[in-house]
Amino acid sequence: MNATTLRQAAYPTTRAITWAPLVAVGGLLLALGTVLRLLDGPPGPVLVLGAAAMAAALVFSLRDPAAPLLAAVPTPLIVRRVLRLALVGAVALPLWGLVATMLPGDGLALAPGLALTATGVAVATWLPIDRDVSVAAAVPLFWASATELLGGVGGVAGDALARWATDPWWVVAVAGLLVALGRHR
Amino acid sequence: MSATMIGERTPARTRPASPRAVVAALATAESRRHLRSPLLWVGVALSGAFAWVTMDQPDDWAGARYQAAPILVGPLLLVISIAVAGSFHRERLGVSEEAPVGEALRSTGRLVGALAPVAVVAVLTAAGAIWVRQQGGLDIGEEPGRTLHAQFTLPELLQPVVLALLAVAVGAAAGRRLRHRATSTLLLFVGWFPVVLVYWGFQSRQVIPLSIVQTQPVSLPVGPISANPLDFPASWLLTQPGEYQDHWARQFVSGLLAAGHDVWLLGLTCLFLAVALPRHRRPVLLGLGTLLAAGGLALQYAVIP
Repeated sequence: MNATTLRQAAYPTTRAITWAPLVAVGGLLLALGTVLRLLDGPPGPVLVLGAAAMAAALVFSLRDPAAPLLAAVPTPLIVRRVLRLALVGAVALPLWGLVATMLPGDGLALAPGLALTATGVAVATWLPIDRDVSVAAAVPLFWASATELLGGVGGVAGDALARWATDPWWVVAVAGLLVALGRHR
Repeated sequence: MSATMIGERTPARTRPASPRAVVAALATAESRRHLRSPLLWVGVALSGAFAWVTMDQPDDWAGARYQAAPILVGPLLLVISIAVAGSFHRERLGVSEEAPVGEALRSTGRLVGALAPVAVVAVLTAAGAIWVRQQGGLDIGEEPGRTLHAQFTLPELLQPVVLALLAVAVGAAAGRRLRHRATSTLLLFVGWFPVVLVYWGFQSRQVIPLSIVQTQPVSLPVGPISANPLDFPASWLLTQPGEYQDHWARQFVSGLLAAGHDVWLLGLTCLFLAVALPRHRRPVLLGLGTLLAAGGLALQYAVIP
């Protein structure tokens, strides 16, 4: 596996990726951000919403209907997934930056979004290949929603729920470790 | 297998089933699928935990718990929409075109089947209403205009059920018209999230009739900070000037306002169903939806002082 192979795989992978979820989510978040700016409302919930939705869109991009066919090729699944994430991330990152600039205030919430994405990818790595992406993409949505809904619970449970927002780099590190451990699955 | 055996196992009846039987069979299968879905029960668990956290904490402001009650079913609305979108997304599979039953009947079966999770919402709402009654009611307002025994009116209790119907219609439209399930799931998440968790953005007297999840009481400014609250009618529930407002405000609660809102939501439901269902049903649903939505809005604006 070398850089040339990756470069050659980039174009067909770009064509194979389903871009609609990312474009739809980005468009809707831009509209929400614009409305919030006009109303001068607090951006907090939309930042959480945006981070979760963008993370889920990134995890959804791992879905590859041809994965069973490609299992025989020498490029490992983990490398193909990294390539997909890099390609989608190259679009998602500026899109998320645009959403963040549309929102009032200055919170970018890049690290929490990364933590949610990494968690989803880690879950996808360890699940059976037929249901991995759909379940894994639900993880960022569920985690962020639970944090918003149950934020008032306090204590250890409240701290654990908010970990992706308060200690995102730790979450990224743990998720990265899980991905590394499951890279041969 | 011999020809004789095949002949014995082939059903003798060739008469086509009635549309009602087809719808009933499809609806039974769909409702079982919904009720067995872990997604629905994740929504129930999230709603239950949300309700527990909300009701267990002291009111941040007068009437906070009464106001928060309608949003407690928010997670359930989202999962209902996602589940119904999955159901209607199967219409997009090529195999549906080969099916011996037309899309109109299949869609009707799917919609009737989706009433199972709506029934779950109804049961949970009834349980919540019984709990509030057993508690002796909730707190609204501050002295001298305060009650500790506020109970939800019937139209207010119907709102979660009507919202669940709207969730079904929105999910059906998203599942039927969007190509990818991922897109519909994410759009439903991004769509439901603000109307549930940013409910305070739709509370002003001008906007609240247009809201999706309507929370009462509606706060109506009635006098400056220097006003004597005893001059206001004794029947009014009031909140004092303080952290959240610089004036005296009337806390307006109305069953008629909630009824108008239910009608508005039913109108929206019809409009989304018009998007989801086959073309020949659209004119009726569009007409009915527009009529109900306009009537519901007019009633609400007429009721709010």
